[in-house]
Amino acid sequence: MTSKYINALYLASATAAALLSGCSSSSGSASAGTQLTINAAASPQISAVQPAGAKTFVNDLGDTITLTKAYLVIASTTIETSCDASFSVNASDFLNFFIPQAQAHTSSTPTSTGTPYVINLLDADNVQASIGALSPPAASYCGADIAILAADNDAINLPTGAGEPDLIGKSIYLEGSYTLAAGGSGIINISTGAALRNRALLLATQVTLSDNSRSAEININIHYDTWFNAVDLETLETETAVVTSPLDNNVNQVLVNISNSLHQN
Amino acid sequence: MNYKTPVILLALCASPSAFACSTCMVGDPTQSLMGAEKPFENRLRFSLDYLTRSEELGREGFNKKIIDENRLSLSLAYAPNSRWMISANLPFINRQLESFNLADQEVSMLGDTTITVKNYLQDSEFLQSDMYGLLAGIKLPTASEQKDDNGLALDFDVQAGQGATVVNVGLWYAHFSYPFLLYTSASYHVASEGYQDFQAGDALVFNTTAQYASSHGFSYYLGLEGRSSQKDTFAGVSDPDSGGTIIYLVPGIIYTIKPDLLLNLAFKHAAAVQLNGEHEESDMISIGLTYDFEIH
Repeated sequence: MTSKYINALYLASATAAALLSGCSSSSGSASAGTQLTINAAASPQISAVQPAGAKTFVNDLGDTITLTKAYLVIASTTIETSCDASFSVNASDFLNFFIPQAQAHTSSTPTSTGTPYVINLLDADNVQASIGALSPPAASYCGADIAILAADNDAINLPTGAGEPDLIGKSIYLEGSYTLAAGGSGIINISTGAALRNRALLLATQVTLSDNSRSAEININIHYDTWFNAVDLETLETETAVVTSPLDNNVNQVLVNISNSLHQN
Repeated sequence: MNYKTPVILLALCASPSAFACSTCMVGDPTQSLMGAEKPFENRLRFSLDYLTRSEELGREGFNKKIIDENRLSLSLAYAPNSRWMISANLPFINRQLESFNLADQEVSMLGDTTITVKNYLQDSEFLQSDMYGLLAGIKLPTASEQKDDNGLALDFDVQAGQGATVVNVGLWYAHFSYPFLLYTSASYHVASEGYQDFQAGDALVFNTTAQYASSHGFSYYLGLEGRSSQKDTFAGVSDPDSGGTIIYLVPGIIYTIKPDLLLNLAFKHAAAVQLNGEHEESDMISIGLTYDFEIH
C-alpha cells in the first residue's frame, strides 16, 4: 500500500505540476477591429471661411447675420448599409419636430453613436472635430441618419464658463444680430430643445470597411451660412421674443435649414 | 493550447502499476464518471477532461460574435469518509473570439477554480443501491482579467474567468443496480458581480444520466444536461442575448483501459434550446480520463 500511496502522490503531483507549469503562463492577444470616426465642422457653403469667433455671413435675401453664439447638438449618427428613397443629399422639408424636446441620450450600438456632442459653430471653419467613433461590422455604408436632439448631462463638449448658455435640454442655441438689406436691424435669439430627427444623409462617397480597409471616417460639414435663407428676420425676432416654438413659420424654416445644412465633406 | 499534460498523463497511465481495484472497496463494479461515484474512506479520484465547444452571440451583420473554446480540466476528488466527498476543479482554457468588426481576440490561461462538497445523507451499507444527498460548491475568481497591449480589457466573452464568485447548492440522487446506474442532480447558482460590471443571472443546472454496462469494461450512457438561467446584466443593463434554457442530449461511452483507469467519451447535442435573443450554443465533444486511487 505504501507504493500505491507514493504512486498516487506522484501521479497527482506530476499532473498538477504539468498543468500549472505548462498552462499557467497566461496569454491574451487582440487584433484591431474596424474604426469609423465621425467628424463635424462648421463650414460655410458660400461665405468666406472664417476663423474662430463670431461668424458673419449674408443670407439669400441679402440680409447680414452675425452669430455670437451658435451651438448645435448631434445626439447620434447611425450608419446604414441600405439607403432607400428617403435618403437624400438634401433634407426633406418634412422634418419631424417633437415639442418641446425629445429624448437626449440614445443607445450606442455598433452602427450608432449614442452620446450627444455639442458642436460650437464659432470654432474655426473647416476644422473637423471628432464627434464620435464606431467599430461597426465590415460592410459598405451608403448613408447616415443624423439625429439632432437635446443635450443631457452626459453630452460631450458642453459649453462652460461665464456667459455661456446652459445647453442641457437644448438642441440648438443661437445668439446674434442681423442687418436687413433694406435697412433695419435686430437681434437673433433662438433656444430650443426641438428634435430634428432622421436627417437621412446619402453619402456621396460610400464608406467601405473590410479586411483590407479597417478604418475610415465620415466628415460632416455644417453650412451654417444657409440657416437663415428664406427667413423673415424681423418676424423671426418677434416669434422668438418670448419662447422659441418650432410651430412658428420662420422658426420652422430655420430648423429645416439647419437640418438641411448637414452634408458630407 | 498546451498538450504537455495529457501526454504526461497518458505516459504515466500506460506504465505498469501496482494499483489495485479501488472500486472493489464498495463491492460494486459500476464504472462511474467523476461526480457519480460511491464514496468510501480515503477514496481519491482524479480526472482530466477535454471539451470543445463554440457559441454565437448577437445579430449577423450587426453585433455578432463567435467564440470557440477548448477546455482542459483537471479534477481531484477525495472522500475523507463515506459521508463526504470534496473535489476541486481547475480548467485550462483557450478561447478565441471573432467579432463582427473583424477584431480577433484570444486568451489561453488557467480559468476559475471550483471547489465542490458532496454530502451522502444515507447510512452506509454494503452494495448500497440508493444514495442521495446535498451538493454545495463555490467557484472562485482565480483567473485574472486579460488585457490588450494598450491595457484595455479584452472582450468579456473571451475572458477565461468571470471575475465573480459563484456559489451553488443542490441535491443529488443515484441508483446503483449493476449493470444499471441512474444519476441525477440539480443545483442553483448565484454569482457576485464580475469583471466589466458583469452580473450573471441566477442559474439552475441539472442533469440526469442512465448508464448500462455491457461488460465490466464497457458501459454506455445517455444523459440530459440542462441549464436554465436569468438574463445577465452589464452595468445594470440587461443583456438581451443571454439567459434562457438549453438542454443537451448526451450519449457517451466509458471504457476501462486498465483497473481503476476509465476513458470516457461523450457527444453533447443541444436538443432543446430556448435561449433568449440572438444566442446559439454548439454541440460539444468531451473526452476524459478518470483514475481511482485507494489510499490507506
